Amino acid sequence: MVNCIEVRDLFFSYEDGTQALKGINLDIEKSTRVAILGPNGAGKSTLLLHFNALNLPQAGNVYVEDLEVTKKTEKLVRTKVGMVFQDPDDQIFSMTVREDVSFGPLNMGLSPEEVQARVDSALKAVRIEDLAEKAPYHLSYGQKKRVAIAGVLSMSPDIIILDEPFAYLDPRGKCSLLEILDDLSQKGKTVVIATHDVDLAAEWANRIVVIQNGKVLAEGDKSILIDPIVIEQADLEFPTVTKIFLEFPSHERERFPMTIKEAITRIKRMSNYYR
Amino acid sequence: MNNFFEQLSNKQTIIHELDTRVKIISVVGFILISSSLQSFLGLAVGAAFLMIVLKLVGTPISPILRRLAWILVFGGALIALFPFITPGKEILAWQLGTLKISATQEGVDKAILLFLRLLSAVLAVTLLNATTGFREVINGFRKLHMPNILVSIIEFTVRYFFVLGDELTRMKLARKARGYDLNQSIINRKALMTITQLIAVLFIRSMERAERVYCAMLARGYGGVGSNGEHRPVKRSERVQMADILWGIGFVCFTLSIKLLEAGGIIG
Ligand SMILES: Nc1ncnc2c1ncn2[C@@H]1O[C@H](COP(=O)(O)OP(=O)(O)O)[C@@H](O)[C@H]1O
Ligand SMILES: [Mg+2]
Repeated sequence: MVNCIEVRDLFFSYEDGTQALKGINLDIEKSTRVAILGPNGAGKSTLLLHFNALNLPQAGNVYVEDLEVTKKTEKLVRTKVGMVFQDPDDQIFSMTVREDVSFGPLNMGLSPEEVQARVDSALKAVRIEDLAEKAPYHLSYGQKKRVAIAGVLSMSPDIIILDEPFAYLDPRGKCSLLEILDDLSQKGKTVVIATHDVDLAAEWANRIVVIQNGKVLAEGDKSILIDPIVIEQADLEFPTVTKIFLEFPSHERERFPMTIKEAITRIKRMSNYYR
Repeated sequence: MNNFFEQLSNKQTIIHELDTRVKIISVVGFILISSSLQSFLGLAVGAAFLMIVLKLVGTPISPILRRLAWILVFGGALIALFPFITPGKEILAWQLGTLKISATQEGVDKAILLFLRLLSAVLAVTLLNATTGFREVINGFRKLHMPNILVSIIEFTVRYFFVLGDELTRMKLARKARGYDLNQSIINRKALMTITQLIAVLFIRSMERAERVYCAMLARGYGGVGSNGEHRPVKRSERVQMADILWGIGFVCFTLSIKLLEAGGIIG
């Protein structure tokens, strides 16, 4: 497998002396769905900003598609990596949705026709074609979030990074965001999200990186979400589904379910067993 | 812009469809010339002309007047001072102990003149607002080669005005939820403290937000202040048409003719 992001011994401190990252090592494979999981203040946002060259490594290195992230490469890196910020109001500033979504492509120096085409397809990807001429500040939070995502998709990055994308979304909003993210992975994009929501990580990701206190605590497939040591050290909790099954002694020496689907399969099997 | 103007600017009249650059220049020209007028009559005619044009493009006048009242409150406070600080023939005087306050005829005239000029200027800008979408005005500034940094500042100010407004509302609400009465007199020391803190926090929050906004712009390939919009070539169809120019000239000529009448001593 090819890595599209590599992080080596990354350190980062803020101006007030807060050490946010204390030696991060990390590989992200192409076309994976990665959840960077950790409690508040773990350093997730600080790390994500490095992938987009908004933070530059103070010590250590970050590589994006074999390109080292430095002052010189920052513009190029930003065309490869799209970053969706947590608060859409930070990101959306134009007077109409269409104009905002074309901000990135215009900065890339594309022709007006190309910009137009990209904006249309980005709006379609997040299903807000009908909002194109609206003023962003009159939209609902969920709609703004989609505008923010479209604003990044229009730059056609291979890697898309979202900081706490599900925060404040209602159930419907979460659902449709999950669908949008699924579409993106299906197109072969690498999608990285930062979250503290273990349930969402369990349902959505196929690669998990657990961060605590500026360090990578564990990295692997979803099975690390039911590793009691990892969960406790990271100040997280088990996925809700897993918590239910922890109450039942496992008959088979098989791992606990984490997602609703796995739970259903398991319950069916258990009821056969008891019958 | 707010809903009111945004809806108006979606209508379609000849003036709506004029080239934005021509509109900007003629409105600026109108304001420059009319603020050099010296006579009440000339200024009043100019203001009336603007009102009529506003009416013709389908603007309901009463909401405009209500908005005007707000703006004039600020200008008005200053204007109200004039009668008392301009030397001249006294028309009113109070004796307050050793302090004598007097209003002069010259001062009152000056105040009325200023008021009329402010009114014309506000009406002219209103006309631009009511017939042109905000985005169009911004693009117009760009096409007129106004420095990008200035255009960006205007654009962001308007955009973030709403975000800050929301923030202020949320903060006020949160204070109310904890039993703070917003409508109490600000003479109260505690209330004054609370308001001061509210403003301070709002200020800090706006600074932090501005930083995040800038980051988000960089993330989308923004090359730093001033480089925005440089890839927007002017299309042929966007060239100014002769008809646009004629309309613009007509508009400016109206004030110009008042100015000439005034200079010729016919009015005033
Ligand atoms: N602009 C900043 N200035 C100073 N300290 C900061 C700043 N941003 C974040 N931090 C600190 O850095 C640490 C990591 O923060 P962050 O990356 O935002 O964590 P997370 O996104 O995982 O919640 C925290 O201790 C936080 O207080
Ligand atoms: Mg964060």
